[in-house]
Amino acid sequence: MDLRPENFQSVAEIEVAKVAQRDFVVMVAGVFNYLCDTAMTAYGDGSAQDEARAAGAQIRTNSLNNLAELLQEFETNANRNGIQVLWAADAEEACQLVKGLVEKHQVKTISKGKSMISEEIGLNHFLEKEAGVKIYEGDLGEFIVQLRGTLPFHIVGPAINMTVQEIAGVLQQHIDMPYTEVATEIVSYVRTYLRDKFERADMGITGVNQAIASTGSLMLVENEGNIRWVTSAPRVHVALMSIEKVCANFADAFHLLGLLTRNCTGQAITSYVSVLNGPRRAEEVDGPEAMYVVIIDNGRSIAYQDPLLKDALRCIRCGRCGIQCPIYLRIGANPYGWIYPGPIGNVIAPVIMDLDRTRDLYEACTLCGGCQSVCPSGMSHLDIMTHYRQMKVKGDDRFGGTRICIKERSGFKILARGMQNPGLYKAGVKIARRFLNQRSQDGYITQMPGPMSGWFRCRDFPEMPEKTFRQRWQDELQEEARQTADRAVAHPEAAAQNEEG
Amino acid sequence: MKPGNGLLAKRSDLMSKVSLFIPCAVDAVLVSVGESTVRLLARLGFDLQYHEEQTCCGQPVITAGHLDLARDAACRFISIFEEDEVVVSPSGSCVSTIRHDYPRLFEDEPEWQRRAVELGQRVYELSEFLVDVAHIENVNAHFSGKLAYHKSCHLLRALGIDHQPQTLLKNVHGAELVPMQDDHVCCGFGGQFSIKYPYISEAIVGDKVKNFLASEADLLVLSDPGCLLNIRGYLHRNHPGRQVKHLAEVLAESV
Amino acid sequence: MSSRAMILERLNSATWTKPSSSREVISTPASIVSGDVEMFVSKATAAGAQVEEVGSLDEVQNRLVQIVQEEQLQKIVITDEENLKEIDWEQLSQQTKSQVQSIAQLPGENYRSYVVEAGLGVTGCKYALAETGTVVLEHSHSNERLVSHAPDHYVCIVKRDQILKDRYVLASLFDSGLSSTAWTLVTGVSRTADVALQVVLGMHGPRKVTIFVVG
Repeated sequence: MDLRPENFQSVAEIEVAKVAQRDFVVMVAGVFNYLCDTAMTAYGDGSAQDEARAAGAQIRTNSLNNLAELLQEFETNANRNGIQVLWAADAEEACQLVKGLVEKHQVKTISKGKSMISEEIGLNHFLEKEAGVKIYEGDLGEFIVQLRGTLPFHIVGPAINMTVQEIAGVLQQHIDMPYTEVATEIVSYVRTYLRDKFERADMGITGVNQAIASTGSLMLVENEGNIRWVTSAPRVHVALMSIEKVCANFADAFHLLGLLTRNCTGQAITSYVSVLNGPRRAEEVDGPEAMYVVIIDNGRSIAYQDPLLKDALRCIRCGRCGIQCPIYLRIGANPYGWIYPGPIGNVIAPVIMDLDRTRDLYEACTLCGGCQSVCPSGMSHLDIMTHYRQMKVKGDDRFGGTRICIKERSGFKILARGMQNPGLYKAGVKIARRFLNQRSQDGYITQMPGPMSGWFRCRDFPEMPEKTFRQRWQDELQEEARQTADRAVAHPEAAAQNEEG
Repeated sequence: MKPGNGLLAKRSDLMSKVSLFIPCAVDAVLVSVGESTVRLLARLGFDLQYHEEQTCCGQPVITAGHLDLARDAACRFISIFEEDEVVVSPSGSCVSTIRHDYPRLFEDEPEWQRRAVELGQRVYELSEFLVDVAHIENVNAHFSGKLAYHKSCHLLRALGIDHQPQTLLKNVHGAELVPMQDDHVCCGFGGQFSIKYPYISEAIVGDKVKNFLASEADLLVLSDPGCLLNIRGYLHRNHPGRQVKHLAEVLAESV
Repeated sequence: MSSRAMILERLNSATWTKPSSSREVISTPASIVSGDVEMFVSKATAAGAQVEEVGSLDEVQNRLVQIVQEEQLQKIVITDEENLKEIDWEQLSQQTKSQVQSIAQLPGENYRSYVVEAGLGVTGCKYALAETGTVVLEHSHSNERLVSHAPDHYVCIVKRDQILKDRYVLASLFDSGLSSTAWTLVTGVSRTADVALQVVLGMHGPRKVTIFVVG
């Protein structure tokens, strides 16, 4: 399967047929939604929860409004702490910068904490190929996915779609684990296997949950303890962050932390939250000798310039929207063809890739609004997705969207003309009725060739009545309604008695 | 509360005039929904008005991104309805289009934007109108059996309408409103989505219907023509005999 | 133009109007829960830690002896912190016939090889959070990071008066300045649910965490 957003349709059709996986994922989402909802009650009742989310949204608004300033403030303070800050315009430059660090510090093996941005820039592949290093993902799910060579299923649970048997099979095949379906034994084996890599790695690479501008600190969030290893044991620590992952101070960072974990795993806090302020000092042993932060743009600053699209940078990667999304839950991660599946991908991918390649992402959406109803950072997914649709219709140079063709637009032109002209509208209804009803059997149309055929894949369509509502109104309903209303108004007691009876 | 007395006594003359906005899908296909809306509102004593020149609100054009095409149609829609004190529609998603999408069509035209916003404040979804505006919670309807309620996306999340239709259904004589798993989750319609991504749509509506069947309700009720076409079509194909109805159709059946 | 300059230039030239007051004050919840020892104990327990309230460090020492004997631990690593200095580690070592090493006595290369072999790591903490049952570790040469992370069993000694209400209090302390190279907020036991959603404790960090609340 060639997993690219361009192949969304064909991959989705394959994935949606995996009924057992679908049912499992929907069930899991239900459990996680329950856990997250319960965790959010720590803030109080519904309106207190809304306030907590609103505060999260405001923190993100402030960060975005002051982005350049905050990044520079962070840089100054990080430098003061002995952290070197590097800037990368795109994925290629970010990879080259890390490669430079690998060479400079004579790195042979790398241990990693789970980082979405490292996957976004394709770092593992690049470094293994171009720098000849060995890389070990530290997060269990990510490690399994790395061995298997597939896309992570969910940004938080990369392998949650896999059964125990599948996981055991992958580990048996790649790292010689004696086959077992007991979760504790699997965890124990991988723990021992990776412990050795953690101890020996020359360089640790992580992402960043939030960079704190006022102190030049990094906040990293995890449950497994891989990030603590990766940032404590190796000689060098490289933290990758996209430009929007910065906030003013710890008050902001810790409020976002509470929203992040509660909407991610339903925890009030994760097992570990690391706050890193710089490389180890002369008398210290744990912690890196050298620490770098790579600030990566990769298309974001162009989106930032657009008043609406800048909001795509609000996301704090909790993944809550995913478990709300009826589409993602049915098709899984693969059709999105990239590392951010579900609503996050729909919003982020078009500005980082381009509008043409990602068209199915922002179009394969019922605009149900489940995603934005739970978002703790104030993202308006629907506004952004409909904005992409508008940009695609008109064509957009900034984000590689070619104007849609006239043929595709013609249907909507006809519809729009019908809307403006009742005569045309009525004629259109007449034609549609003749066209549809000639195929009707017992009041329903069950199949139809052509562009409407999709509808009939799983459902029928009711025959169109001979008279429209409009005609019924003219012919009888108007008069009938007048008489009924008059009676009701003339005899309210009767109506009341009637109702109580 | 004596709903019967309340409904006629509380209503001012002003509010007794109701202008109907009948969405295109109801006008052309789901005529009985429009008819039920008329019968229900007339029975409650409202003086109904229907502008025969109305067509479609333009939602499909807007959600597909053709804002330029929708603009003129929106102007026409506004001109038709803006003299009315109250406009009522049996469609949450069309009301949402007028209330939320129309003002955005006129980002650069403040005068039209003002008119759009003002109209949006007076266009109500049916259950919202009955409960929030007319303060009617019991319409004296009858149904023998169990009802399940599907919370259509645009009602629930775009308009914030949740308790209103459920209150009306709870007060239907002879009916019991039963819980349904994932009642707040989308049915998989999504307009063009259902045609362009039929296999995904099928999976979603399939789960919706599975949950309906598991609820053991006799009838599924909802308040959006799009969801109704989708679920009714699916039931007819896969579970003939199982029924889904629009809220107006249920409420129109009087004791 | 450098990438840094280009990125900042784009961010600064955004066409949309930014609000004139550059940073709005955000009212984050003052406190989610009231902070007390009971709350700390129940939250830490819920997160998978074993929490014991004890009267004195003598009691901690007795309990540690029991733990070392029960678990037949050979090597123990302890930090060089005030909380730990009142415990007679030599006595404990003799009683249990185990090796106890303070990081103060271990030269760098020996520390690293010792800490990964130790079965028990003992540290104090700087603060604790009642809201979540979290211990807050301030790392330095007297509290190296892996003492609390590499051994299978981790023991943290918390003094009652170190327990803060919640993360917002900690944030205000951090915001008024923090000088150490690293801090860790530890809540319960390292865990994963990556194998078919089964929660397994002890992924890459300690499999067991014991917290003594003293005072």
